[in-house]
Amino acid sequence: MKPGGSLLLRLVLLTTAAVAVVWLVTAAFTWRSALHEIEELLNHPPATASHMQEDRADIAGEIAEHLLTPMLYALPGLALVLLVAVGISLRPLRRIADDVAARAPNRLTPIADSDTPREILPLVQRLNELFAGIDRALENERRFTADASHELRTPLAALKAQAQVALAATDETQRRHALDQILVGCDRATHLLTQLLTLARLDADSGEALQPLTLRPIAADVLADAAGGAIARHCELVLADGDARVRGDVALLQALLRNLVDNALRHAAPSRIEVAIEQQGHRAVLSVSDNGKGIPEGEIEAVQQRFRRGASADSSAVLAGSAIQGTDAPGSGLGLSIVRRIAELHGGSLLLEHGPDDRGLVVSLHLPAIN
Amino acid sequence: MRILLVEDDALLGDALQAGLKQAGHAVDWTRDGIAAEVALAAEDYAAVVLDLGLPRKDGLDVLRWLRAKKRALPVLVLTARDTVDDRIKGLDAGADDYLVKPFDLGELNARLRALLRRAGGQPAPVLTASGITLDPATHAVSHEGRAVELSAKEYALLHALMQQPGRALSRAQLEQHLYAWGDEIGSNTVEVYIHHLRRKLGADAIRTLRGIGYVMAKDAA
Repeated sequence: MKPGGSLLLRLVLLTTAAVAVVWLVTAAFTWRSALHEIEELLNHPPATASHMQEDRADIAGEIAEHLLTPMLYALPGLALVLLVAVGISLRPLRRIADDVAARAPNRLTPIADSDTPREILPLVQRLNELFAGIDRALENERRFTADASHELRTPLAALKAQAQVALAATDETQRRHALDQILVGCDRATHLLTQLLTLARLDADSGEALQPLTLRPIAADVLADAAGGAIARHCELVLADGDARVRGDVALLQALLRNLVDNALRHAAPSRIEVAIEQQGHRAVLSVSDNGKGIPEGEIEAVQQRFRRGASADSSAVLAGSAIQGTDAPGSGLGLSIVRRIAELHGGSLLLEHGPDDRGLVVSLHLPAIN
Repeated sequence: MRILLVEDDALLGDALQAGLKQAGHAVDWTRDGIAAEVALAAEDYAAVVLDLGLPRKDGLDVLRWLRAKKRALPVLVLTARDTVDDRIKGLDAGADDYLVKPFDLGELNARLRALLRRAGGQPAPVLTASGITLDPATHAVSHEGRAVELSAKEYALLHALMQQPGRALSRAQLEQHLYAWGDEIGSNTVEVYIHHLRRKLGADAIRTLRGIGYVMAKDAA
């Protein structure tokens, strides 16, 4: 970045120079006319006192005239010079205006700020920051659209194919089965859509509204909600002793925990899920452990990678959620992207590990603890 | 025809299996890339319907593995990835055709018929041999211009034989065409269906080559 000097300084210098030129020219004319009058006076000295009085008035009049005449001509010249000078000084402003005017709404590259006067530089920089912000928002929007269309393709294909099977079915059992499957597919697409919208909202969130809070009530609330589903799947839910305080958003942390518990319930077929909250030094650790199918050896690193990289880098990673723990159970697979994004917003990190004796999976969220 | 379906999505796989069965195919369904390779190594399929986003081994890797083994069977790829670049990658990896989700089941079946036709060296959509015509699109069979009613298994058997007239197929090969995993196979069912076909289409339609199998005479060109 190379600022193009100060606009004000340039204007002052140019104006001073123009006034100085006019002043010098006037001085030169005055000097010459004074010299001429003095010469005249010496060659023809006044004869009487009354003559001298007359001459004095004449000389003063002539000197004044010689002082005024060049000024009369120089003033329009001065105005012209100032006009040109101001025009030249304001050229960078016009360039920036043209640059902004010529932009299509989706071309949000920064305005070049070399040769920009110091007074306008902050404006250009704020504009560039705004462009970058809008660009990020647009990029999120594009990513959402791409993810959504990609994620919805498979359920839509299933719905269409099941409907066509039902239409072509020759026996009642087959038709019923296909129609039942269509209902399952609609529920799944609805769940997927909810998850996608959550993710889109999270992408727009900057995580500025974090409040000090206690984790335990959040966990208790989520587990109470999940109890019905867990009983239906013959799974025991446990909230271990312990608590910690962090800066966070209640609704987002609930969504995170709900996704982790839901993921374990749907995909791992565990007989027990334990949620634990611990304070380890300056960190609060919220963990969800299950004793279900777990992740095959060797794939845990790949899943970790997906957690870090997130959904945007590779659209197939969005499917990671369903690929993690078997694919029979319906799930959108977006749960992990949501969990990752919420962890990011809280300045935290996620860790995946095998459970004790290599059974099941432990997902832990590490957050900065507060007192 | 015996088809291998490779699709990890339970709902879509279920629909495709049913849809392909309705079209008269015997369908085996595997849900990941490794299982698909095991099935391909063990069985003789007429075609593969392959999803790309698979657990354990990606569909494109399965496709490359298949082509590296010099297996020429037609592969129809199903995918949610719809950019031109993805399609080029899929075709270059050895796919014969490409359908982007969501697709029409009718179109899937039509494309599969076209692939099977080309693989069998049959340019015409309607198969003919020994005065018998078979339309794979409508399953209509006629003999000497007269429509003939066939059961699903009889149709499948006739279709297999008419795919390459003049080429004999063994009993084991015909069983491969007729039955998917989990289907009950009787000890002499192929003979029973051949018997039914001869009754409906004339005794000379299908010839028995002892120790080799069954064949339909090729029409003189």
